[in-house]
Amino acid sequence: MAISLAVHIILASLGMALPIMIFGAEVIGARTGDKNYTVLAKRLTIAFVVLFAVGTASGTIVAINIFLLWPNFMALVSHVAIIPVYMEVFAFFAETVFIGIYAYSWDKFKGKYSHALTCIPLIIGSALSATFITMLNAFMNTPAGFNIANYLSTGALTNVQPFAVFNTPSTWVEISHVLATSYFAGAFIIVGYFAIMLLRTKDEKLKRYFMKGLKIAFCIAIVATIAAVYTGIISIQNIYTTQPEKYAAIEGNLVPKTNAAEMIGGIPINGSFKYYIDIPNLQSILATGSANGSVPGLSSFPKSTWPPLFVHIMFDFMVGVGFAIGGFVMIIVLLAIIKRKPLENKYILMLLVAVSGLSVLLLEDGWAMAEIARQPWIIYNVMLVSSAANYSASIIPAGIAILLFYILIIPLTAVVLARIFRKRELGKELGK
Amino acid sequence: MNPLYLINYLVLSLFLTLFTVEVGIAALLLSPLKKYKAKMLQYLAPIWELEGTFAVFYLVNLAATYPNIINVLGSVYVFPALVAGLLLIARNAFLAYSEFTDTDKNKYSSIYAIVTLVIAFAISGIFGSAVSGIGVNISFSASGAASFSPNLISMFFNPFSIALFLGIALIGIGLCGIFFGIEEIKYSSVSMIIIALALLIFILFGGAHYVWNNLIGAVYYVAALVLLLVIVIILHLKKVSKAGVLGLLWFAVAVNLFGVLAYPSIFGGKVDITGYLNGSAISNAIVTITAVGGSVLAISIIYFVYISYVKNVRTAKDR
Repeated sequence: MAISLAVHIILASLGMALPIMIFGAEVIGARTGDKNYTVLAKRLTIAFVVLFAVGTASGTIVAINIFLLWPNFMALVSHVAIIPVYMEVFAFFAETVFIGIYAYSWDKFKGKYSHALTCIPLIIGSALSATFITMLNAFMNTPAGFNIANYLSTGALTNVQPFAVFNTPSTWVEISHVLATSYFAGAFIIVGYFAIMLLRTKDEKLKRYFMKGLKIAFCIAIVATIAAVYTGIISIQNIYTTQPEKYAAIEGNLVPKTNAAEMIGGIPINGSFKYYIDIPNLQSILATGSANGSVPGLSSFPKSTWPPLFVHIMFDFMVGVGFAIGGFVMIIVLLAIIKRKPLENKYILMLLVAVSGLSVLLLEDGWAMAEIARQPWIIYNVMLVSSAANYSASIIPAGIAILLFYILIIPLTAVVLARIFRKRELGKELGK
Repeated sequence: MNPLYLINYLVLSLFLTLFTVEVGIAALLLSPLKKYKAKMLQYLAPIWELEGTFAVFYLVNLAATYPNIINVLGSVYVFPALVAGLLLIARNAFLAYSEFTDTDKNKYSSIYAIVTLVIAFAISGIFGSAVSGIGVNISFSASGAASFSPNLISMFFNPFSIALFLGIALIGIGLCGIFFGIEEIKYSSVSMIIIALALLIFILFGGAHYVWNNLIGAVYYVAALVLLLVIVIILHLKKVSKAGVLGLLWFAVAVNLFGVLAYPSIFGGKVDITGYLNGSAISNAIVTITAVGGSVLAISIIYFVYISYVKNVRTAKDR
């Protein structure tokens, strides 16, 4: 399950960012008549179709995994919370129908922007797919839509409200952060690609082409970074309210406290944290708005419901690196405003390549932290992971098969894409 | 008949119809009939992703329709379903690779074809065992509760599933012969479909007698289907271009009829599927969303078919 998700979220993030990139490139190309942008849109479309092919199938694997590896979880979800998953399929259909139209009908439209308009349902479809799937995850964190007390005492599902899952206490906060971070990672992967190409290319005409691509991708990345930081802050405030054990674990709070310091660093050793720096009162201020605000601690909850303490390290990594990237992006923006042309600087391009890799790590870390910090619950305070799982012996060979498969197919996809683009000489397409 | 069952089976039949044609294409891609390859790949190019989406749609709809069957499916089909899912990634990947590369196109499209045939074999095994009960060990407790466990070898390697796979492949090749107007198999397309139907009816008699019994009772529907098939064959032999589309329609209706005949039993008639239906408030929401979403989807697909297959490329004069 984890392997499938880890691969799928990267492909899904690219699947969200690429249509925006492609749309932007085609519109600018149609508006300015600059062939670089039109070629950019066409070449990115090829990459998008190939990655979409692998990404959607990996999404199918994730769906099969959820249904078959977590049957008790899915049985409950199917009774009370399946509607967003069901609607996600229709959003996915919108993507597949319009990718078929967009990718294979370049020469079939009359108006200057008509073909580009067929990319809009792709953008909306991919965002809606992410939105609906995240609703299911939000349900896992803050379940709603049925009589939970009655279910826990009798096992019966009563008072089912099919659409309650659209608006649980964490739904829209989580959706906003998932969308922002997905666009963040997807945009920076594209930024990294163009940065690498600019560092490698000597030809001035090709450099201009890659620079145009980099600028579009970087604009998307700027907006996504700001959104990711803002939504990240409101997410942690939401977790403070809705999932106090998770909050306590990711902040490393072993006991509840007021005037709580923000613990930077800290390694859990024998049940306590060592090697950290405290910033006085900061945690209380960030969580409650007041230095005297109280924050929850793990000691208030049964030890059997504590998440693993290393989630604090994952949280610190995510926040620390996230803010560092945010700061770096702001520096580039400032340099661009004072006309220093930062994207033409070799060292900034190298750092952008590093940021591209880090953005993927952040995405994986964020999702892993969010899921691990909910342990031992698969549905918070309703169903344990151990109660939801499939213990059939045939899972083990299936899991090995999935791992081996991804080890083969992902590098192969990268190699094939590289070969496709090597054969399609960029210089010829640009009319060099 | 329960509307949830009908919706669920309709989605499955749409997927099976599209996939059967793809199985035919896959088999023909591996045959010596190379001159039709470009035409078949051109048909597949805009549509293959949509087809995979119908498979996902079916899976999600299955969970929404029969929530209590997830446990059963989890214990019985987890391994073959995951393997089929992995092969789906390979199918998508190699078809996508073959679209955009020139030098390795044949290699990638051949790998795609082989993978597609293996997926068809896996689906035949899963579908066959769900219909016939072969490969699924079912035991009932004193209270009537059923428990299930798989026998993977017999699930896939039994006469029913193998014959089902051969039947699907033959129908697929036959339909492709009609749809793409393949001259070299003009007459053998028809005989393949007839042989496949005979084979499928034979295995239903032997392996899923409950469906066979219902088939006898639905003689008017069967007669209508036979008549439709005869019309398709006549149009095909007269080289009328719409024969292919009508052939697909015939097959979609035939697959639907099968679902109606099998209702409400699965696993060789031993289990009543209505016991697993979703009885919560979710079921009304599912019907409503399917109606609304399905309508929007239908309009989108009509637009898609128009743009992809009907609208002409703009000439330099038009621009």
